[in-house]
Amino acid sequence: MSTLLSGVGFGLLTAALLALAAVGFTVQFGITNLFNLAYAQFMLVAAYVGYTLTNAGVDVWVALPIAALAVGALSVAVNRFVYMPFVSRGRALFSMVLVTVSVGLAVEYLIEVFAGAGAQQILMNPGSTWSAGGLVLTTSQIIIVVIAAIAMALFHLLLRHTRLGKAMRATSSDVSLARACGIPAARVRDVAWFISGVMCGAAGVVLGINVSFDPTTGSSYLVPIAAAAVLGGIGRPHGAMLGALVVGVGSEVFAAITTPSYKDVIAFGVLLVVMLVRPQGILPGSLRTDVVEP
Amino acid sequence: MRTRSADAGLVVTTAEGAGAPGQPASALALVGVSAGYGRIPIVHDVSIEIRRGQIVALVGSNGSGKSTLMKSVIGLLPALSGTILLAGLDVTAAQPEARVARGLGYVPQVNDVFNRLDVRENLEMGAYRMRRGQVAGRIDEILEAFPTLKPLIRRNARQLSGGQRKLVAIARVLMTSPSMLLLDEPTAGLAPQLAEEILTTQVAVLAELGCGVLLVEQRVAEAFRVADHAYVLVNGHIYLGGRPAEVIETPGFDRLMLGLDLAVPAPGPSAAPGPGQESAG
Amino acid sequence: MSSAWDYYLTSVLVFFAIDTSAGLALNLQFGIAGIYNFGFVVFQAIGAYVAGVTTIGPPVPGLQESYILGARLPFPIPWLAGAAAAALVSLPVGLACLRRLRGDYQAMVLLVFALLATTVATDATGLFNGASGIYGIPQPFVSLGLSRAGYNWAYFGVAALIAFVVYLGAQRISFSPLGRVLRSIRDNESAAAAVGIGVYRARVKVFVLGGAVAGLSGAVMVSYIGAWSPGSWAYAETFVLLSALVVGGSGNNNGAVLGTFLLPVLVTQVIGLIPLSTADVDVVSSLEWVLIAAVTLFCLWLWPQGALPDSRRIRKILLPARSAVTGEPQS
Repeated sequence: MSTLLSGVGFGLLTAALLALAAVGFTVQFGITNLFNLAYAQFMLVAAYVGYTLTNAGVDVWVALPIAALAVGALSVAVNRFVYMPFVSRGRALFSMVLVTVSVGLAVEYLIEVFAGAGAQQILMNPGSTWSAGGLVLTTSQIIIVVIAAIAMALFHLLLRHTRLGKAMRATSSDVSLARACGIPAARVRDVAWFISGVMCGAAGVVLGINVSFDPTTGSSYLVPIAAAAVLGGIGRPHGAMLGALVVGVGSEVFAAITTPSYKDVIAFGVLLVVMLVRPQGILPGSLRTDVVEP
Repeated sequence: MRTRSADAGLVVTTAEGAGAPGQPASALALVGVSAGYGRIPIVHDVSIEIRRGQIVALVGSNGSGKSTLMKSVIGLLPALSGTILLAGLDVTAAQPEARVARGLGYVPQVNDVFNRLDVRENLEMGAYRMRRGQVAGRIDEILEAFPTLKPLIRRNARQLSGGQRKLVAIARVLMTSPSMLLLDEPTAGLAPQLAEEILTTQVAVLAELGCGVLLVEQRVAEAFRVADHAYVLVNGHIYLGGRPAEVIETPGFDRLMLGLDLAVPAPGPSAAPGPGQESAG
Repeated sequence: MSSAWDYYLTSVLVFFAIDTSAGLALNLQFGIAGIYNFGFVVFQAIGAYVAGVTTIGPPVPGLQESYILGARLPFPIPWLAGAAAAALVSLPVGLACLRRLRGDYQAMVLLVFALLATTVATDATGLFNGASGIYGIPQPFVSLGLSRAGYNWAYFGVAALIAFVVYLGAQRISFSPLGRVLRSIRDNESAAAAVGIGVYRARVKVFVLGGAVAGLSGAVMVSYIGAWSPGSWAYAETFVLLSALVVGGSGNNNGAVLGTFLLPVLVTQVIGLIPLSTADVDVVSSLEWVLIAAVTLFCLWLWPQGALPDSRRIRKILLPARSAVTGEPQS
């Protein structure tokens, strides 16, 4: 019972990380209609920036927003100067997969060149320990969960109640119609990539706090991120939040009652089942064309 | 190069004179426009002028290039050659956003609403360029004009019927009171009664308010009843142009509507005088 | 000196022959059928593992090894077992992935599959001895009593023969009715999908066939190098082969051969010839990946059809050319 509860505790932490990561991933798909398979490597860039800053004596809660903003800027730059030129050049959606994987690979190994292949971890004072029942979390872990929850709430408000957020949803729904309505789609796209990049970066720093990482860690995080995003219906931010909760808590609880190393297996199982049974995700009302070749 | 917006465009006075006395101003003029996908033109050398308050019907068979022409006018497809003048301003190289800001409105044939947004949000997107404070008031005005949308205002666009979707699309484009409206088959797939209402009520009222309307239609009879001028597009070329009553009486009109070329094209249709001149004559 | 050179040259040739088989198999899936099989290396790995464990015999009790299927089978059987195992695994994967899904969605799932497979092979220590992997795999033709160089030449002969047979098979499929169906799917998936279930079946067929050849190539590899562990088959290995196809000309079997010669063989070997201190080796091997990624982007930008284009590509003139991303027309 207590292993189960501690699994839930760590599951919440993982869900916080996954929520930030999966929402960013799904927003990028929604707005640009491509899977950014370099996403996990961008996360890792943030982890290394956060690591470098904290090593230089910067407080981790200061390093987190700095790293997040840096990755936000990186995401906009890569989208605008690499992905979009390829798209406008008319490469089929297919080759975009190769483009994003190329970028991810280049980033992964550039990190290795600059930071070495060794494992690192962002070290910090975890603060005092809080427990309720068998659920145990440190202060810093609670802060992480709260930050993710606030980020999700803010993003929800942005999408539902601001002109920019509605324009993002409109562009994601139909970019031609958005432009025909006078929405500056290119600018909206840049903003969406920046916001999603910031979430990606925040997730990366959280990753660096949670676990030790090396340049290849990023790619392994693509498994639960993709699972969470696909579970919620790819391109749908609210779905990704729900997906992150399910995959995060589910995989940690599974890991707690079996072997820790198998938590990705449950994520992949989720991905596979959703893909086979309901490729449009678990939420009602998604259009199947979101996922299947129109 | 294409990023230069309409602001950098030249003010061009058309041959007819943009604001010639006794005639309403030109809302839209196409001069020798060719357009298509990639570098392959689908529409060739089209010249059309629409004045404010005028309804111009564009008819033709499937695949004749009507939608392609509409997309190039709004700017979703580039004009491969020719000039597009919006109220006398050259917008040929402008982005769609810039054209909308200059008073152009467009209702596409398909994918005409944002599926993931509700009706109110759809209307708000139509007013994207409007000052924030004015949007709510404008939505109320629009809902007065489209009372059937009132109970649907929080309904997701995906859940609407075809007719309701089309009404939302038209209502959305009217949010900014455009001076020139492109309607691509607004009645396609609608019940005859609703189609009739959209054409004779909504579209006609728009024109009375001084808006120029370029109307692509399959329902030739209904469209011609409200139109001031009509053109027939065959294989991307304009073959006939004139008053609707004359066009429909032209020998071979039925053949053209099936997409069949006449052996000899009608004499210089694209060089034919603009509708404005004829209505004045 | 001369014998060292001979040894070096023959090992490069062996790798080239193995990569050629793999490249041709991937070309069948990716180049001709348009399936972005980012999990290709997993099937090579399965072939290598199965061939390995059916060659080395049961785990030695004192060595703390554990793996399944420990057996000592005579020469061609482990290779065939490797190919069969890879085909067996690719069947459910293909059935699951190739159904209904959009191409890039498939690519993501297969990439995720590859990432997961590495995790499983590393953590499920009972399967193929975890992170340490299997090693000390006996070489198949030792009984012939050849010299070291002679052995390499013989091994190259066998690997080259396999590559040649794979090439003939690939050519045959590529110009068969099945090849035409697959190309039509690649060039216009939605139109081909309207044709029905035959499309799905054709793609699964080629996925399993490619998986079998991948398994065989892995088996040939493991018998040559004598060891196999999760470090040998990172997901990025698939990427090298995909890049090779892009550079050489995907969809064209000659292009696939040229590409595997240019990228995995030539580039790697040229970089390997740079004299380096040990400290720099890691940096250079990382930069090698960066270089391959850059070359891929460069080629995708300038010559997306590759050096030897597929002459049977259906030109996309009248397809809806509107980009789903920018809403702008594509040229």
